Amino acid sequence: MSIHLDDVTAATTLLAFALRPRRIANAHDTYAELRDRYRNDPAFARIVDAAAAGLELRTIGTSPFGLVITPEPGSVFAARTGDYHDVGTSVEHRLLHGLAHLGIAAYCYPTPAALGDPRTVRIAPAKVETETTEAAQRLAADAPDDAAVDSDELRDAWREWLALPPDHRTPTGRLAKHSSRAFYIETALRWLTDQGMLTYDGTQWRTTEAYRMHVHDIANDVRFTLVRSYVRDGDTPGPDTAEPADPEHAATAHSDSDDATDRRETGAPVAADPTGA
Amino acid sequence: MRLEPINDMADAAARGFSDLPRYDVRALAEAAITAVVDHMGISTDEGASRDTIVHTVSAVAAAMHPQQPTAARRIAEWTVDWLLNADGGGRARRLTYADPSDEYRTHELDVTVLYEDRSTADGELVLKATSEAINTMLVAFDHDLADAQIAAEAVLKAHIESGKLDRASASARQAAEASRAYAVQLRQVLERTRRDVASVDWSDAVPQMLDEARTHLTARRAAEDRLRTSAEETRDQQTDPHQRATAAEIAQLVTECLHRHDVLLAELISARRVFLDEQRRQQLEVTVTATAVALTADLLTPLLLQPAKDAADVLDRFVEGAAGPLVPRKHSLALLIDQLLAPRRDRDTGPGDLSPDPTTYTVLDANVTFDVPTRQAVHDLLDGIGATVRLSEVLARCRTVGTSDDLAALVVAAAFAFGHDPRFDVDVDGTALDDLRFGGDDLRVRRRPPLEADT
Repeated sequence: MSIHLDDVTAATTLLAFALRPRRIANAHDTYAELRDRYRNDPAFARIVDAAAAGLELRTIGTSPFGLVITPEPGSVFAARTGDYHDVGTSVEHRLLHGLAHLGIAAYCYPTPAALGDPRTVRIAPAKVETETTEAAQRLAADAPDDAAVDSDELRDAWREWLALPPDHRTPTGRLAKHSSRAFYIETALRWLTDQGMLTYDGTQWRTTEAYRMHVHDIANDVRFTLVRSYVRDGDTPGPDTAEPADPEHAATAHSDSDDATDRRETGAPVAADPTGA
Repeated sequence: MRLEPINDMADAAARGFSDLPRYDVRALAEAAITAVVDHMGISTDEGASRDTIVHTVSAVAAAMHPQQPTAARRIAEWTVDWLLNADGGGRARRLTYADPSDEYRTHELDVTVLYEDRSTADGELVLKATSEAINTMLVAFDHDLADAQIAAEAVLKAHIESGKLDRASASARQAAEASRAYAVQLRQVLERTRRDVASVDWSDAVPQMLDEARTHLTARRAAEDRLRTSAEETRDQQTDPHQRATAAEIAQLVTECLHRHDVLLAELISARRVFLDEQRRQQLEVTVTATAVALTADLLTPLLLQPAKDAADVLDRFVEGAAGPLVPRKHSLALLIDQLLAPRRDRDTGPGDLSPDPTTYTVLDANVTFDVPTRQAVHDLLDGIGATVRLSEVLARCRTVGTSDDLAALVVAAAFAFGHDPRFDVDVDGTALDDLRFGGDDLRVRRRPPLEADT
């Protein structure tokens, strides 16, 4: 196929819009037009996808609000935990920030059905904290008392989460840095808001459609990563994993038996509540 | 079962508002849902803001107890929030009930009445009603809604012609209700289509329905036009003030129906396009539910069980993916710092030495980063700026709100001000910044008139 320079300009213009997640396509004629062209014109969509790939970006899809793109790992556009203000790169900080982020996502979309529902979700930070902590406490209830290890890096993730108090404030009422679960959750919420993934009107955080699409995309990716790591460890997460080279197959087999994950880590079945999954 | 939230609501209102007069909260809920439905277009993604709905409901509440206007507003806000389940984070209410068709086993049912959605036009939050709520509250008709509408109109016509105006006014309200219900029915088909093309029969049933709807509406408009004329004539002929008012109300209701049907007809004409667009779009989109992950069970729990280091590595990737793209912006910040924090030239020292006195000025690290609370505080502050303000005033306000690091605040404020925030214009008028810590021009920050959203 022959490519016109005009098309390249149009394709990269669309990417430039997509890099500003707060923009609403329907409020901007050019953006709306290019998004519709991306939907309706496969040749144009291929140019956009190719241009994105060159920038280490990947298109996730379109929504009524615009084109949604995500950075590939290591891309110049990737937002790393290290970009967080005042967050060191220590394992502890990375872990706690990561858990806060996953906790927020799990609060918003606890089940596959919720992850498929495009309505906006209100986020109550205190409830994110409670639900994430409850997930950790369920594991704590089944863990042997003497299983704690000295090395921070080898300690179970849930122990790190539970080691923090739920809330800790300075005398002026601000959240003290790094010293509570609430701090990590609120930091993540504010950061996601800066990123245009959430909105905040001064009292209430809410999800955007872009956030849902990103979470959906990355959740699949991370689940595969998890499954691959079991396979690499020579573990046998389920009876159907005769083909370790095929992570997708393994993932399917694995998700059919959720408790396999838990058996692997604790040596005993854990009553992990899939919260209505 | 679907009515359960509304029943609970009456109890809760009685408990929670002992200081207020008794309101018929059921009627308020109905008014809220009706108002929401009225604002929902059928083929567009419209809805009403929470404020609009609260306003409508308070008017109804005020009519119940006219002597207490503030109470009306309170109960209206409470009603809308209850229907939204705002306390429950806007999620569905979970009801448990014993199912007689299943040996009275306990079942759970998630019920949502109103919910918040974003308008696809501008991303603003709007309220919408679920199909269940609409069906339960408004569509009490088992039979064909189009027939119900014709019937209601026929009765209305008979009443007007025979001069039974009080009865005519009741049937006009019924006709309005029938037309609203009919609009809802159409809207539901199109809404389902937008969500999932495969769930509706577009090869046969829906096109036929759309055709029938078009014919029906065209006929309704003609009939309503005649009704309006006769209602207006009746109004003008009446000498009794009560009769006159009743006739005016009827004319008003009929005009509303007429207007609603005009809008519906216009939307119907574009409905076929909605389908074609959605079909194309949904072919391109991944079916989300088929591969979706249960985040708590599939990710959170397994990761919490992993050793900290392993979990942190995987979570880094999750954060990267969930946060979306981050556009690097640092170079412009460094530039700004140079421009802004260049120390004030002291005219008395002469041109010989322009370098800053190291004891007075600290050189800023261009890569300085700010924590989110600081940025948010500055952001909020800038949001509050009116027409024109000086940098010195912004700084003063920064200090009063206790921003942890006013240095950071200055830079961020200036970064917004220096053309990196489209909301503001900045210039200088030669006035120097009079500050203990900072030097330079006392910038004048002006809010730009909103031209175009998000440019």
